[in-house]
Amino acid sequence: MPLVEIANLSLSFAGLRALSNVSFAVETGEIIGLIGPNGAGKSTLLNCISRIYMPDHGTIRFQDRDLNSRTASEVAAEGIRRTFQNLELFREATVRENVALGLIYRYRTSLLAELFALPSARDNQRGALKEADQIVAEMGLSEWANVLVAELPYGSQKLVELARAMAGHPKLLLLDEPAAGMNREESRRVAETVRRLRDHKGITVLLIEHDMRVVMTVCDRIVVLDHGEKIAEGTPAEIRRSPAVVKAYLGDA
Amino acid sequence: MNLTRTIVAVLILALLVALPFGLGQYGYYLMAIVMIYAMVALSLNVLIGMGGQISIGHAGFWALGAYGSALIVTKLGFPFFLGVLAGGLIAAAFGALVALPALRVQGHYLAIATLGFALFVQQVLFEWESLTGGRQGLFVPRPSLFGFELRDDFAYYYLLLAIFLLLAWITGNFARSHSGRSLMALKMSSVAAECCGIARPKHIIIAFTISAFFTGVSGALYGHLLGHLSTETFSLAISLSFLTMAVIGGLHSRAGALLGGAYLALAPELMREFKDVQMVIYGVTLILCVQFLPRGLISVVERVWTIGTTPHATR
Repeated sequence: MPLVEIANLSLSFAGLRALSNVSFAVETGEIIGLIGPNGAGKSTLLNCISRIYMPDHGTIRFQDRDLNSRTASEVAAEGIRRTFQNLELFREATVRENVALGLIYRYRTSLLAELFALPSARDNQRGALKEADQIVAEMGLSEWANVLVAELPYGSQKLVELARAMAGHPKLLLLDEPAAGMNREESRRVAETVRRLRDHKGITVLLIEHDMRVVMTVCDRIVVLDHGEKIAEGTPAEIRRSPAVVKAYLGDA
Repeated sequence: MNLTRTIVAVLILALLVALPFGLGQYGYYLMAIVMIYAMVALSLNVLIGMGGQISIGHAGFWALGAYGSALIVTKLGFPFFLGVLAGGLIAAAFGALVALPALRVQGHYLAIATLGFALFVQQVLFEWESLTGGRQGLFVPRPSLFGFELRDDFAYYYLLLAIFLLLAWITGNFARSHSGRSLMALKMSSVAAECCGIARPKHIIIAFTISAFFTGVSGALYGHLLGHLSTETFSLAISLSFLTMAVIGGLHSRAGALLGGAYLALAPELMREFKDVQMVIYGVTLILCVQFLPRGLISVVERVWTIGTTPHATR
């Protein structure tokens, strides 16, 4: 049984077809690349999975359960976590707080305990911060733990976003252009990190990326979208040879 | 840093305890009003400062608290303290209801929804004559503590101060709690927060409920101070005044709430001479404050205080 099963997914915005009958599956432990020209519907697809958008037609099943009836926060709590193309960080908060906000939903007591600062609430706060500190350290961000994220360079902010996603112990990680705006060395490190997360933690990854070096080296399989439709699916070697993909990228020549 | 904070807190407390001495009956009354308003400012700290939600209907919660407590004490014979608590809880229940439109609409639309709520409450209280006395209003007994009536506003002031401090402590606990942090995360980025597993509806409801509870308690205490309630008090004008004082005092600080309360209670006294021009002065003050002091009067105090220390003031 695949971890994610997308079937006949369609979504239009004001008559504009963003996704049209897209179907594919993601097996547990796979790294799947989602590529395609600008406006192909890649981010829209990710937004459907994380329930920021509601598809017009079609279903998304995660661990054999339908996601369409769930809210964004429920989906996140079930283990689907993500990063964003244009960074969605808590800008007025520190690196440590950002990561902590990624995991506090797992530490809950009653509201009354929180309002009266009862021991259960204090223990919770300590526990969450301790776990956040561990993740901050694992991601090599300890030096910046108490710095406001807005003050970090772009590349480090992307890393904080990834750390915040990791704080949710994801089963499925959705990465929207993790290597965008990075130099060759930095993108190589992003590719390595994605590999490591899969190999060591068994996290399934679905990633959108324009940097073909990253896509070709890190992905097990690639899904190609163009104008909201899936035009190819296969291993990196197959995709490289696919005439449909070449046409989509280079046009009719 | 922690030590200086403690020292400042002790100094503020000493000031608040010493303040009413020698002010006379009217002075005591005004000081009591400062505390009552400050509780409302605190409630708006939670709703607007932490939650990013707007309300121009807090007069509605204030009225529910005031009438709720008055009726429970006079008609059911409950002691003053239980009446105040019940007033807060009644307002809180309505707060949870008013949160429902906030789950769908934001900004101006939410402002109008909350305004509608307050006008509705005022109208119902006015029309329901058999219960609230309608046009004639409602008599409210003086506050009492363990069977002793607090005849004097001087004594009542200290009770109000204690309740304000309790609510301020709860506000601080909430700000540090996971629920409070989740609420602030939703304000910073709703999409990011939801993708972190934080449920928006739950936390918006919590914010409205807590805010309405504080305002309800304040309204209850206000009724027992006045000794008489009439629905005219709970107008759109007072809702707007609440908003103004909370913004001017500072929406991100408990001390700011106190300053806001002092502003709303004392400014009319200082500007009595100006009569009709008063409203213009309020409006201009608000605009200047939003323009030049977006974090309120308290930010001036904090800036003076932190000169020479780190530029990042932590919450």
